[in-house]
Amino acid sequence: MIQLQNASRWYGQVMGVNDVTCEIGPGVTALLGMNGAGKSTLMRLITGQMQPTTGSVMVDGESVFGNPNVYRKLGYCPEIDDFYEHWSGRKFVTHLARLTGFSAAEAKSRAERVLAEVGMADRADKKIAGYSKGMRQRIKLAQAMVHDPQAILLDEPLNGLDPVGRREFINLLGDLANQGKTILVSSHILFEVEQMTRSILLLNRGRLLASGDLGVIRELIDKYPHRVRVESHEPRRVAERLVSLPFVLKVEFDPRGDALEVQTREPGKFYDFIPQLVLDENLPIEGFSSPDNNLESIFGYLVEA
Amino acid sequence: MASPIADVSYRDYDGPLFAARYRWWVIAKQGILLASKKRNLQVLSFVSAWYYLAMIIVLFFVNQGGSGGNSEAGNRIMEGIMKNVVWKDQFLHGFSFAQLPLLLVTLVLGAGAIANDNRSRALLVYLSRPCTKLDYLIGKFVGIFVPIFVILAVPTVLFYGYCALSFNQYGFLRDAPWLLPQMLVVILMSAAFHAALVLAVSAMFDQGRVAGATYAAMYFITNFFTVAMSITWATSDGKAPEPVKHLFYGSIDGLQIGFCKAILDTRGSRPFVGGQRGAEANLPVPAPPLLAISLILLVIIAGSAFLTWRRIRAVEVVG
Amino acid sequence: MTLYLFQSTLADFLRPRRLLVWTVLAVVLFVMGRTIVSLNPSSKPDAIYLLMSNIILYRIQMLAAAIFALQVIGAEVEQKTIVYLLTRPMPRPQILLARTLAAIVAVAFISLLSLLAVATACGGASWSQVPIDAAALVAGAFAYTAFFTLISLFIHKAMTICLMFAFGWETGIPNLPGNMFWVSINSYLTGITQAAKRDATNSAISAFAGGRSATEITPMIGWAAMVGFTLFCLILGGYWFNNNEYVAREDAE
Repeated sequence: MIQLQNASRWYGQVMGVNDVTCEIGPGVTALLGMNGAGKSTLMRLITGQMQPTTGSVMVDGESVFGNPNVYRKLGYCPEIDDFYEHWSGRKFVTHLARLTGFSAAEAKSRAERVLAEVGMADRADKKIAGYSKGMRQRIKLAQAMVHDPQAILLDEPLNGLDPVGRREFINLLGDLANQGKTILVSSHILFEVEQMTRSILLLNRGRLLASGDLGVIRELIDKYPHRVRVESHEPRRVAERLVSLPFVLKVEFDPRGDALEVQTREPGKFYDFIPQLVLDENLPIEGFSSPDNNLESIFGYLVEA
Repeated sequence: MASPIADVSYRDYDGPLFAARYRWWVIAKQGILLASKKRNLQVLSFVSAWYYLAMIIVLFFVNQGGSGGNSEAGNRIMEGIMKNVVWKDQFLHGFSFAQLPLLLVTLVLGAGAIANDNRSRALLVYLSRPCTKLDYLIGKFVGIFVPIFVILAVPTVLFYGYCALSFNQYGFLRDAPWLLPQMLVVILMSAAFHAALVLAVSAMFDQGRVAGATYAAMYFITNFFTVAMSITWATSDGKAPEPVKHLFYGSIDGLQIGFCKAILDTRGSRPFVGGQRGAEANLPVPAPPLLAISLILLVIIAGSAFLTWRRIRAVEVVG
Repeated sequence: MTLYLFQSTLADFLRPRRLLVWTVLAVVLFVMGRTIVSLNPSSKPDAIYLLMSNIILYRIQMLAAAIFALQVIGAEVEQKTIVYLLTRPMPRPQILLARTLAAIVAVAFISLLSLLAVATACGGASWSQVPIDAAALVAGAFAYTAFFTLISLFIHKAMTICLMFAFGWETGIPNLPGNMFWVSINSYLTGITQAAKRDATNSAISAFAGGRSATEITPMIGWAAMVGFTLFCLILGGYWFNNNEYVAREDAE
């Protein structure tokens, strides 16, 4: 749906986005990066607010900048928190629906539908100036969805939402993705992004560090062996057995004495071996988990590299 | 490179804290420093002194023509021109002709002073510090007052110095010994007036652009009134009704020019060549009473300050 | 979509609170006019009308044009709502055209309201001049608004520039000796109304009314110039807006 080919963007001497090539298809894709990594610049390139200095940005094979046709397929929920403050939420969403080309009646019904979907139906007649941060976020999402686009881009959509609101938002995005839409979400809240998707685009200093499935990316990070935390009331006995395995690199004891951490480059084999140890050799293993098989750890490893 | 996070000593500050009386100066200094970096302000400052620059050139060439020539006729012409020059009127004209550039300077300095803070909700930040509304108001006022004062005072003082050094023999110091202190008083009042008024307008809006347009509208609409009174006076053959003489000063620059005339005790003369000849109708409008115009200016300054005070608030409650 | 954008922008520009301000201004003009008439018993009311219509009305129009023209795109960029406009399936030149036309209509309305106030204040024979002055004000609304909109597309903080043009250039240039009046919009508007010829006896009013330009610029030249200038500004503005980036800025004006 969205294709970037060697896209770069300079702000004078400062590189905003550096030679990014990727494709974003149906489903939820998370755009991750530290502050200043180039996430917003990438969003602006895809939404046609900026032109790439070099390379190309296409949506469904069409160039974006100055191409109004693309915006029928694209919805954008920006990071900015600015509106026509003297308007009500309903008027704002209806107005933008009208600007998309719908008739007055159609725009009104669509606005009602999306406002109900984002949970703003009962509060949409108040002036936006009096809205809380979460309400403003919902209105932004509503205007991005009102014309039922094939792709929705959301820049920091979870900012300001309470935990219940975030859960509702994530569920909504999931529903949209299940309808076959392309959803690109830029966020800093890694543990929640992880709940939304396993597909990521990781930017650092304008460069695309990694793209694709989280698990596959983790497998490919050789520099940092997988860490597995094994809980046991006899950690030294477990360690004695695990150290003899050829694919175990390192064992560390937890200071509290109720667990140990194993490092391995072949987590698949390790996980397959654990049941055998428990059942056949009666090793006292009470549980195990992977502290670094998550987005935050992967993010840290890739950015530090 | 060692990570700075390891050095936590900066987190504990046990040095001296400035006393409360300096808080307003922090805000004022910020305004002054920001203003000094604006290129268009530097250009406008130069433009506001154009009359003084022109007078320096005119007087220089008149002086050169007189003293450089050997003919008595040339010297007599030069003497005649210099005798016609009313020195305090030159400062009045310099002040008068600076009014339009001064308006633009005020817009650049003050239109967004509080409006931009309203827009970016910076007042929440200011007033959540140990910084009172009074500190904020005084700081903003001084941040506009000082640049306007400097922009007006520097060319005045320089022109005064040039005239004192070059034309003392034509009675420059003798005819108006208190000219410089008088002009400084005029400039003080003008700077305070503009600063107070533009702050009041800025406080009414949350967009600097709209505040600036409003202030400009006030200036030009009242200025038209002064122009209309000026035409009425000029076409009346000296028989204009009494209110015309007072309403002439009923504008933003009119009030200031009137105050300048009252302080200098002059009604003005023709720019550049000076001299007051002919019938009453050809003379400029007389100076207004000093007490009346001073009171009007002070009331407007106080009223503007009060309005600004009322409008400064950290949070705006929207129904 | 273009019609809808025009209508919604116009409704926003002329919403009640804003309209109230301009109405108050019209009342102020009326009061001013009555005051000047009463203080000038020797002058004919239509001479006062000429003074006011040629000096204050065009200044108010320029001020209104600066305010509304800067709201077409400049204010949208400043308040960061430009992103909502630019991510609609509407060609950029159409967006600019719709909003500019709305600004032009708003400026024309305010100019005509002010004209009505001035004519009412002066009364008498001035009413016969109102139609041609109204036509010139409409032409001025087109020219000034289109021009200031164009400036706002080039320059981020355009209000100061527009005000300097309005109250410096347009005030001073028509009255300069030589042929400088050809490069002032006000000269062509004065040419349309032939205002300076109406009261040739009053040199002060003639001077302010751009006496010289009124004799050399005929109404036909005035109309042609204003139409051509407006079209030029709109076309250049549309091209520029279509090919340049307008991203929400972090720094406020």
